[in-house]
Amino acid sequence: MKRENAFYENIYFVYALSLFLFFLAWFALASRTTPLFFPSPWLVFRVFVDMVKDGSLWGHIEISLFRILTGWVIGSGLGIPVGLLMGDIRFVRNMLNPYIQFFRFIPPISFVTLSLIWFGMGETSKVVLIIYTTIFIVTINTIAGVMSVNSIHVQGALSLGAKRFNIFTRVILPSTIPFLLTGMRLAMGNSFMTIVSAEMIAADKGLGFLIFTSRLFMQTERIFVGIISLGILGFIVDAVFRFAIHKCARQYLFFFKEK
Amino acid sequence: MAEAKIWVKDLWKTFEPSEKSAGGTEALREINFEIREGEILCLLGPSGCGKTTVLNIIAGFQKPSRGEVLVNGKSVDKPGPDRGVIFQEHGLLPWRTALQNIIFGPQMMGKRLSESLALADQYINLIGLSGFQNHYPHELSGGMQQRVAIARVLVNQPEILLMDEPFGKLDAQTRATMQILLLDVWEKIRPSILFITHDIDEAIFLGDRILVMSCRPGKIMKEFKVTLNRPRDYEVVATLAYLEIKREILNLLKSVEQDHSCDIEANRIG
Repeated sequence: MKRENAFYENIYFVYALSLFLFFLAWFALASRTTPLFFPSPWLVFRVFVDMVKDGSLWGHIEISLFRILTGWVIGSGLGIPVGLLMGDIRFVRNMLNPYIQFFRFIPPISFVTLSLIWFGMGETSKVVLIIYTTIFIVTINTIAGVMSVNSIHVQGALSLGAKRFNIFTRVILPSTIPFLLTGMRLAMGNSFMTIVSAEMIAADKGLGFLIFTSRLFMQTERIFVGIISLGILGFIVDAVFRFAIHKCARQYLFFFKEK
Repeated sequence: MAEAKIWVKDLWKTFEPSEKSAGGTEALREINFEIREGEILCLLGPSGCGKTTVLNIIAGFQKPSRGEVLVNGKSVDKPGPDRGVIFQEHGLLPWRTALQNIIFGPQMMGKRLSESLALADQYINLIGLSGFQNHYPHELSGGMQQRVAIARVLVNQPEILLMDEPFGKLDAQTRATMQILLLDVWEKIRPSILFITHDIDEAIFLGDRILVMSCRPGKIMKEFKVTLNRPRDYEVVATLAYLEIKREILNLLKSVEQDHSCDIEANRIG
């Protein structure tokens, strides 16, 4: 006999309950303070709707999304081959590893000014920061993928007549796919964190710009709108990416079921 | 010795010193044997006695410290499709279906897809994999995984099979089925087989000859000839000849002082 499901086992119910409690707490907190200190959900929602209506919010989202996706795609495009080469060739790994280990601890915000000086006021300086934040995570994950290739797969392929190049394209690369996809997902998160620093200076649009300039006018509720938009946008982009992985690269993820 | 398919000549292997063993580990000492055309040679020994190292050297995965391996008179220096290897873990590529795994070899050898598929089809039937072509390895049982592993090697039509405890992880019943299957396939295409096992019954049931190895360093203690009639089926385990050879091997093993890591599986009596 199947046991009656308890109410707390229904995932949608739990989500709804969680959101309800969250907003309840928010209202409660907001009602005890001024809107400047902590705006209520209702106020934030009204500003949100206004910004959607006059199109300004979409403008911010559009440009931020463009910068994030461009930087993320280019960063992954650089990080994956670098990671594959570093993982596969010891010489390359030893040559580049010190820099990877050095730069990955330096947050992108440290490079905001330098990026402006080097790449100018335009889009490039922002995109470069996103590339910077993407590349190390993708590279390190790809290296980990190459290093954890099952040696039996390589030996088996060699005994079936595979050459060095075949081993790379037919064994190492496919085994690495789950790792590099994980690296890309993590990098996407970092790109969203970096966009705010990237748009801090010398931007006239973008969610980071919105959050940062609202500070100057003490428009706390607009900061809230920016933050919430970033969170929702990140959630959606990640969901789309996961859906795409599921559609296109599913067989490579069976790798995990083996272990 | 003209008919020796594989000639293992004075093989020694010492592993480099590591954190675990400062002086290095002597894995193999003075290994000499040959595998004749079309025979099944079983290498029987406890876990950790270096039998897999012997196989790895013949396969070309590892280099010996001394000595060499001749395959068809030519010294082995790297892996190649003339020596098909079947591992204890199936070793199939998890992102490829059974069929895609089987045509991997022909593809690597530059064969056209239609030709590869035709070859694959032939061995899929021989090994009994019909209907499972489009399954991914993780969707198959252990026995079926090993069938695919055997098929993907046979499709290259190697003259030599190197089998490293291929049925060691299967349950007893599946293992018995696979042993019969292997003998059946062997009767049909007659490859020379090096079969590594720690299971005495398996070695007697399959082998033409059995080499018994000792532990640390791995050495060949004795050779046994198995004169049981072929084709064999499971009736054979109840014959006197079978029990006699089993008794001899057990006596040999008993006479050798063994440490705990050198236990041989001898509990399965037909």
